[in-house]
Amino acid sequence: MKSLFTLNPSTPARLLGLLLVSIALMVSDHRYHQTHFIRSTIGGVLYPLERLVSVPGDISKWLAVYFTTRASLQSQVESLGRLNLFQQAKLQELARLELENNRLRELLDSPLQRNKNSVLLADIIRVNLHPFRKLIAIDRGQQDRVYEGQAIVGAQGIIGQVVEVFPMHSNVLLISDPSHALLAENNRTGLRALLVGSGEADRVYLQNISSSADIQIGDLFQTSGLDGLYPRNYPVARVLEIGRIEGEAFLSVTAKPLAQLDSIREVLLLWPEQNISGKSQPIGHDK
Amino acid sequence: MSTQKSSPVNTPKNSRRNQATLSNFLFSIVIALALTLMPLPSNIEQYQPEWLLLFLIFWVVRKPETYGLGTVWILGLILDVIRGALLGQHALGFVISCYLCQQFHQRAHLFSMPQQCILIPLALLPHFILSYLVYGLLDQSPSSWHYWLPIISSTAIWPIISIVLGGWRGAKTF
Repeated sequence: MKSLFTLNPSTPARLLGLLLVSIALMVSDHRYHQTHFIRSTIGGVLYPLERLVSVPGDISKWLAVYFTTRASLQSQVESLGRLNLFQQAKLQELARLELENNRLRELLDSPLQRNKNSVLLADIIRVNLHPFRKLIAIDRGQQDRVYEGQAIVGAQGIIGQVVEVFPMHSNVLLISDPSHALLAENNRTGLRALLVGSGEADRVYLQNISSSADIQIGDLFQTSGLDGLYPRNYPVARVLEIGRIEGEAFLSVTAKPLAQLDSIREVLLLWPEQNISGKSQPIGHDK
Repeated sequence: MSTQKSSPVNTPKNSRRNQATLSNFLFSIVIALALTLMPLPSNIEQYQPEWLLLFLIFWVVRKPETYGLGTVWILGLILDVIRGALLGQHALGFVISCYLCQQFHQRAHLFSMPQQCILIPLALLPHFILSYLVYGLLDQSPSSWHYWLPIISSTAIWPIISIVLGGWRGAKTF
C-alpha cells in the first residue's frame, strides 16, 4: 500500500528535465531536422485513427452522391461531355503548338525543353490540421514516393507544397499560409514578385514590386520555376487590388489564388522530370 | 465509468481497479485524439477546445500517482505531430500546465464547478502563452486574436468533460 506522502511524483526537477528535453527537441527539429523518425512513427501510428475519424464525413459525401437525382446526374454528364469535347479540341491545338515550339527551339538551339511532369491524384483527408496555419493532409506518403518540397496543384492552379511525409500520408502547406512564399512572374510582362500567403484562403500578397512597375488588375501570375520548388508556368493567382502609397518604394498588391483553396477535395502531386531519375511514374495513375 | 468503483467483494481490488482506470484512461485519450482530429466546418474550427490538454488535466489531478508529467509530455509530442507544429512545442506547454494543476491536486476536489471554471483558463494560459512565443520565434505569429479563442471554448466545455469522465468531486473516493 502506498503511503499518502509519496503521492507527489512530479518534482520540480522532473519538470525542469522535461522542459529542457522539450527545448532541445524543438531546437533539433527546427535547426537540424533530425526528428523525422519520431514524426513519421507517431504519424504512421495515428493514421488509422485519422481515417476512422473521417469516416462520417466520407459516408455523408457518399450518401450525397448516391441520392443525387437522375435529372441532375444527366445534366452533369451532359455538361462534362461538352467540356470534354472543348478540352479535346484545345488539346489538339496544344499538341500542334508543342511541336511547333520544339521545332522553333531546335532552330534557336535553345537548351530549354518543356518539362514533362508525372502526376498522381491524391485525396485530401483533413483540412484543419492546425488552428491558424494553412495545412492540409493528403492520403499519399512515403509509399507513393512523395517527397518534402513537392509541388501540389489543383485543376485551376498551384495549391501548395509538401512539408512533411509520413508512411501513408503527408502534410501540405497551402500558398495562403503566411509562412509560405514562392517566386511568381507576371505572364503578361515577365515581372517577377514574391508571392506570400496572407492567412486567408482567398488572398495572397505580391511583394517587392516597385511603384513604377507595369502591373494591372487582372494580371495573371504564374510560377517562375526559379525558386527551386515549383515547376515553371503553372498559374497561381490573379491580381485583385493594387495599392499605391505616396512615398513608398513598393506597391502593395493583393491577388486572388486561382485554386479554390478552402473547398478543394482532390489534388495532383507533381514529379518534375529530373526528380524521377529513371523510375517512371505512371501518368494519371490512381489507386 | 462505473467500473472505477469496484465493489468490496473483489479480493485483488487494487490491481483490478488499476486496470479499469488504465483502460478508461487509454479510451479517454483515444476519444480526445479523435475529437482533435475531427474535421470541422471552417467557421467553427477556430473554437475547437484543446481537448487533449483538458483530458490530461483531468487525469493528472485525479490520479497524480499514476499519470505524471512523462505521460503528459509524450501525449504533447503526439499533438505536435498531429498539428504539424515544432516537435516539443505542445509538449512543453502541456507539461507546465499540467504541473500547475498537479500542485493543486489535493485541494482540487474542494473546488466547486464555478471555481474550477475560473481555474481552468488560468491553467491553460501558460500553454497558450508558451506556444505563442514559440510561433513568434519561428516568425509564424498568429495573425488574429482568434488564437486565444480555444481558451474560452475549453473553459466552456470543461464541466461536461469533468462530469462525463467521472466528476472531479468524485476524486474524494480515491
